[in-house]
Amino acid sequence: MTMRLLLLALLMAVAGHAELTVNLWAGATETPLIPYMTVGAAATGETIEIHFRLRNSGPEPVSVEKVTVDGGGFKDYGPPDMPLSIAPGYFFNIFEHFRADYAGTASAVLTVKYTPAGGTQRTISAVIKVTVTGDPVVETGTTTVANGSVIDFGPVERETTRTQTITLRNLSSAVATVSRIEVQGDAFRLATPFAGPVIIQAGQDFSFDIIFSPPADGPRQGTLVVDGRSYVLQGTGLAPSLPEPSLVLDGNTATSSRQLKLRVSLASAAKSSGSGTIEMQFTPATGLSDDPTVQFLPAGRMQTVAVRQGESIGRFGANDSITFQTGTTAGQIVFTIRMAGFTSQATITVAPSVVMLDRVLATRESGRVVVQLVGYDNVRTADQLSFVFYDSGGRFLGNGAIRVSAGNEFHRYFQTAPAGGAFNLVATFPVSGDVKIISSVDVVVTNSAGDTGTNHVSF
Amino acid sequence: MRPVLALSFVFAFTAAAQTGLDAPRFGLVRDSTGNLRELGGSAGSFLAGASLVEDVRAAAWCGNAGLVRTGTGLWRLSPDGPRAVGDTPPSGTLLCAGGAGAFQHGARIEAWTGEEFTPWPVEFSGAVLAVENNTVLVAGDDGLTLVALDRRHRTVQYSLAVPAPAGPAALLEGAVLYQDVNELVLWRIGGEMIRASLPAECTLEFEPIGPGWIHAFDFAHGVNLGVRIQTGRLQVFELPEVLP
Repeated sequence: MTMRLLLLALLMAVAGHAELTVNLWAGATETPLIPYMTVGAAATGETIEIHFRLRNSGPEPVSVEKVTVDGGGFKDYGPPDMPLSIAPGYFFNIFEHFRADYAGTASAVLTVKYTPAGGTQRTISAVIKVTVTGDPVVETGTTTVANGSVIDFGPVERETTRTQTITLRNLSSAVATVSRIEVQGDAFRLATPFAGPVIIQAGQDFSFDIIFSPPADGPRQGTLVVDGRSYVLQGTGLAPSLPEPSLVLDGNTATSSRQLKLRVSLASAAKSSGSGTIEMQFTPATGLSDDPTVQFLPAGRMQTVAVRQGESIGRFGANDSITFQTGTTAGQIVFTIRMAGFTSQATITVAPSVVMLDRVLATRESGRVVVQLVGYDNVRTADQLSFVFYDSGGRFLGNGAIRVSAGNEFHRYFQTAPAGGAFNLVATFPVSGDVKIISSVDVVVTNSAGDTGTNHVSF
Repeated sequence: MRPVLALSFVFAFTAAAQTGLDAPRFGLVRDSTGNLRELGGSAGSFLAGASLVEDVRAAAWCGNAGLVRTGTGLWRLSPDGPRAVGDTPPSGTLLCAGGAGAFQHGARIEAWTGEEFTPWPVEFSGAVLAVENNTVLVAGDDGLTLVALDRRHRTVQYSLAVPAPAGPAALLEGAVLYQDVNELVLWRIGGEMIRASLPAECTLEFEPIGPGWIHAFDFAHGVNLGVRIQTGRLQVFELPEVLP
């Protein structure tokens, strides 16, 4: 009789204050709390989390001064600082942990003390219950997993597997029988098919493995069912990571004005397709400016390299190499590949060199001869020019070598030259007499690296 | 009388630079986006210049002048700028003849003479693919024929069958440049052949870039080559483009 009166009083207490309600909050569902409500179920020794929501449905703010759950097994989980104010239409969540070491029904009294704006303190009280079963708890490693919770396998590369061992631990004092262990979902499976009921003695456990093998990229979900309880299995399928790339050059030194190949080699065959970037950086030798002809072909100093599944090389479009120009300036070219978290570099040095003449044209015109020199000076220090003209018999003409100091002209030209050290020089020599006698010319050009010359360029 | 060389040394002055030094220029080349650009730099480290003509469908640069076909017609290029060429055929290879642009009109080659396009006094029954000096490369029903002309006397000095497959071809330093499956072939009179591998499966077209240089390209397959002969060697370079 006493209990009935208490129950009536508690019913009135819960329903009597419309401005603040206490709800059980599970997932996206709020259920108004009523006395003797079963708010959860747990296996013996299993810790479950129970959420309550204090909702202010009245027109005025309320001040909550105290929230308590008095009863064995309950424990506040991050209790809020009190008092707390809840504005009209707003709510506040209370988290409680529960764990019981014996099967049966556990109960506690939930008490909320609050004061409406301009009013006096009021109290909401309710007896709440939790069903404690003799089922074994589910554990992953040392962590107990509550009914309905997530067992996370994390990111796993496609076509590989990750295995989690699940332990059913009987924390009760009675024998537990598990009749059903089932895994659902195409990315998850039991390592060994469940063969039938498992009897777990008190204090003992039973383990089995679940394998996550994502068939595709992206998040995957499944379900583990242990008798009447279920657990969310989740993981993420990832594209297999690419092997470590390395850059392959034909050597670590090169001359200027060359078109060379750069290749990408992978440490092993790629298990998936992917891509990376290769950056080309040019550091001119001291005192020299950048050279725009140091570049990949067809353009730029940044290239994308693609990797195909099953191949151990990088590709540039349809090709397995990319061509780059060494330019016409001494310096250092550094290639940096970035792919799948790897970074690797290769360096090629373009050494200072004498002037290189690509083309020397000698032409005779009326009253003059013209010598055209097309080439490059990769240190941009060309200075002395020397010309020796010969007749058809190989005898030199005039008073020997005509020497010209052209350092200033070269210096001015290279300050604004558009293409590194490339130059086109046209030298004109006024001639008195029959220019047809002039048969050939030798040219010597000097820069800081030395002399370069031609051998009898014919007119 | 033995010539006497003046002791003074004079740098030649050019329109681009008064210093007597200038950037090397190989000629003009069209890119995969239809822009005609100056090709400069060094052989092996080229530099593609600014766009000079847009919407170019075919080009032939002959050193100091040339022709381009754009979406709006045929244009003669010279240092004075582009001039429209009227009454021109809609297609056909653009040629270089005598350092200036030329094209085939009917059975004749129309070549720029400095004032107007003048027909050569010799007729060709096939498609003229290239002209170099007085040598003409003609594609006919029987394949490629190399025809050497004496234009002064309006006669054919000789003609030779070129053992090349049907398709585009060019003339380079008196030799015939053509594609043979995955190779670039330079065929000289006398039968000598120089071969170079192509970087990708392609179907090449050829256009004159400037003296001594031929543009060999198949933009659809990413092939963009500059070809020349240097010291008897066939040199094949990849050509740069300009990032958009």
